[in-house]
Amino acid sequence: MANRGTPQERVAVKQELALRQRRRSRLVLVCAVLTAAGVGLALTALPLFILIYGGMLPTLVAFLADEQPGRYLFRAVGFMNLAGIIPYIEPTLRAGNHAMLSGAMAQTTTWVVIYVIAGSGFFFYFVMPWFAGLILEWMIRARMVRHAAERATLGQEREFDA
Amino acid sequence: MANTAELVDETPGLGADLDGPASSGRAVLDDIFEIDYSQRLPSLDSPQANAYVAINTERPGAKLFAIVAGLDVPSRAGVAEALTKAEGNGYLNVLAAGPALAPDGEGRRMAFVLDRPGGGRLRHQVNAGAAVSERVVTGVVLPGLLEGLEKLHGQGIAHRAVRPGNIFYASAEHDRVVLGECVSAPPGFDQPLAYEPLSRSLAARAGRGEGAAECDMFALGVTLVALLKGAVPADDVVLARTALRYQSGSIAVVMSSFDPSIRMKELLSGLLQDDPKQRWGIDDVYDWLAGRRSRSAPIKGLRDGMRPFEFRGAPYGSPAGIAHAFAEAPDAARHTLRERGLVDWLWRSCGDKDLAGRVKSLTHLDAKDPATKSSLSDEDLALVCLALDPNGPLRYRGLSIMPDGVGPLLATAMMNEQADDLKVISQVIERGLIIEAVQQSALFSRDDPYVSTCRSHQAYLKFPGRDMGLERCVYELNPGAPCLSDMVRNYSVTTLHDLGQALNRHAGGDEVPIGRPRDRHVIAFAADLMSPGQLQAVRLGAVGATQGAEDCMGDLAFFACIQRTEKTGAMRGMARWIRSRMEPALDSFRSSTRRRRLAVALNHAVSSGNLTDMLKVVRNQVERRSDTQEFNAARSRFNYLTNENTRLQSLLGDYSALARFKGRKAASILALVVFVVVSVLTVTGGF
Repeated sequence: MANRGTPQERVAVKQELALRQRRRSRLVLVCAVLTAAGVGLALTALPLFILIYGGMLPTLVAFLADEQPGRYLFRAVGFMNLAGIIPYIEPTLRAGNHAMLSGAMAQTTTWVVIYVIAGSGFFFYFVMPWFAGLILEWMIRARMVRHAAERATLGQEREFDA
Repeated sequence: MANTAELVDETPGLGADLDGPASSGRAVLDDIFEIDYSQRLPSLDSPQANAYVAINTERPGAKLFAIVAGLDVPSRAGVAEALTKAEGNGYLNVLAAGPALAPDGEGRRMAFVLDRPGGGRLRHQVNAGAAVSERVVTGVVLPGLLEGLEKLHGQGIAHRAVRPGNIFYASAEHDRVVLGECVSAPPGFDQPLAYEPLSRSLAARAGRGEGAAECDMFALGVTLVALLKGAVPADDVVLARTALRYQSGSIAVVMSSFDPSIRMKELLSGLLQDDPKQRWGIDDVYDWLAGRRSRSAPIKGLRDGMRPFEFRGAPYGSPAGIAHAFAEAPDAARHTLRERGLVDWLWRSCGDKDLAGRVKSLTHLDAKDPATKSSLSDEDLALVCLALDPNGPLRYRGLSIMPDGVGPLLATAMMNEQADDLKVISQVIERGLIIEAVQQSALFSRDDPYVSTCRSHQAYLKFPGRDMGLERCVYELNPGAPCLSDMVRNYSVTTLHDLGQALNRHAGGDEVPIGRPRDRHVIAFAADLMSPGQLQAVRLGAVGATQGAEDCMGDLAFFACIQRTEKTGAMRGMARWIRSRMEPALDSFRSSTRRRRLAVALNHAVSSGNLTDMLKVVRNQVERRSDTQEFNAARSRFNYLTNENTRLQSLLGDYSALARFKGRKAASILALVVFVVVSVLTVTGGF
């Protein structure tokens, strides 16, 4: 067998392979859990199953798309997606019947609201870095100005070389 | 010793002004003696000092006079101080000595108040050229002079100015004589050559040395000859007959064509011996006066050789005479010393094998290297002359100095700014020639303390920057000598108190003087007078400061020490002067705020003229420690800010990754917050 790179590179390759393996395993596990939970939920409360599994599709997309450390896209979209679904699920869970839920599901606005709110998670994810950049630059510049003033004072007082 | 109180400053109680009004025509010495400059006494003048009427304000009837020295030669302040403490007959008592207002009102001069003789100067009374009878000499002159010399010698003081022109009748009856003053000039300075013993007569005028009683006895003998004969040979004649003096003795020159009585000849033969050990002392003369038989030795010169040694065509009978001839013609001497002639002469004719060996060694006659053999430095030649004439003066580069005459000669050279002489004197001290001369001379004991003094002077010259070199030597060799700094020279400063006052006056003009207030003379002068504790305090004054600051803080500590210990009072002039040079000391503080604050405090101290307060301001150790600590902290902070600035600069250049990370994180947090809020509102029925 041919020698592929240095020992460090071989270790890195092995770690990468192990990571992919773990992700694949986790994905399989998640799919299995979701399938099992979905089957159970579909058999016991079909409207709820439709709302949750249908409404949480953006989260699923984000989950599949986001491989960045921290998985902030998944988190942002997930939380916003949940925030969009919770108001529809809570009355059903409180009342114990699916009548209200079925009515809401029949309305297009329900799905629009759910997906728009979920979409705002994407919006936050893509807009916030720009906004954070602005704030960061302002903070850096402000700190630099403050440091420069302090340096000037010290230099003037103690006659340091600038 | 009089510390004249003509100094005045802002401090009350310091007395009259340094400069004083010239129109007053009076100077005060020791608080009770007044010198009246309007009444000159030319008949009592000394060669180096003018005489004036002096008044004892406590005893107005006392007949006194004062002599006021110039600035050209040092006076014998140490001798004068000793004489003020002892009163005796036979010489003019010195009642007070010290600096007094100068006759022209410009500065001060060394002045001495003496008893005024009742009968005028002996030389004037007998008329120049007229002989005095042996009866007068033995009955009037000799007893008075012996009495005076006995008193002086009893105090360990040699008069060194015994000559007819310096002898006075004590009373109008002319029945007793007294010796004149001996303090206005260096020892032997004004003596005609004939009155000086052979060895000392060949030295420079100011370098003839303190000498001893034997020198006075020789001068007494010549004085008697001068009185009996009416004259003695003039300087040029004596100098021309130096070889004869060496060969036949001084008496042959002094008494040429003079034939006193046999008895008088016996006295003069005893007094005019060239060998100090053979010369009569005071007891011998008293014995002679009483008619008792005194010790007598045959008159002889210093001839040692069986046959003469020829040098430049002239015959020389003694090694001492050869030394003198060598010093007169050094180039010819070098030429002669390249041959073995002198060594052989010393060996065979004089029979002095040790001396022959020494000369042989000094002239490198045994050297194998031809270059060494042919080279004979000035130092070698001086040592050869010293070996040939160990009791004579040290002859080096045209300057002849008696070992104990270095001090006055050095002071005279400094007073007259004779750079060439100063250079030669410096070399003489530094190269140990004086020590060599003292150790070889029979005039000094082997363990004479003067040797250790010379060694310390040698050390001063090796480190002139630290020990002040020649300047330090001049004050140690001339006790009581005034400070020769250009800044105070005109004030004849002899004490630290006066030094502070004089410098304060120097700085008191409209413009602050340029230059350091503490020049080499001031430092050397003070080092000679300060106690070890004071010196230590002055040195410690600059600890912890930088080089430039060290100088000005050292100056400040120095004068603060003088102000404190000498109680000079407020010194506003000095304070202003020192303040003008304090910037380096202030700059040694790192904080500009602190510097400004200290400058204000310093200026406040300047206005009060208190140098100690000024010193406290700039030598405040608490301030300095705080300054250092704050500086270190500030430097750390400054470095941190510099590094941080660099980091922020680079961050500003590429912050997108960070912004992306932070933004995404913020988005997830925002979403979580929205979720929590919506959940809470939903559960609580807010929707």
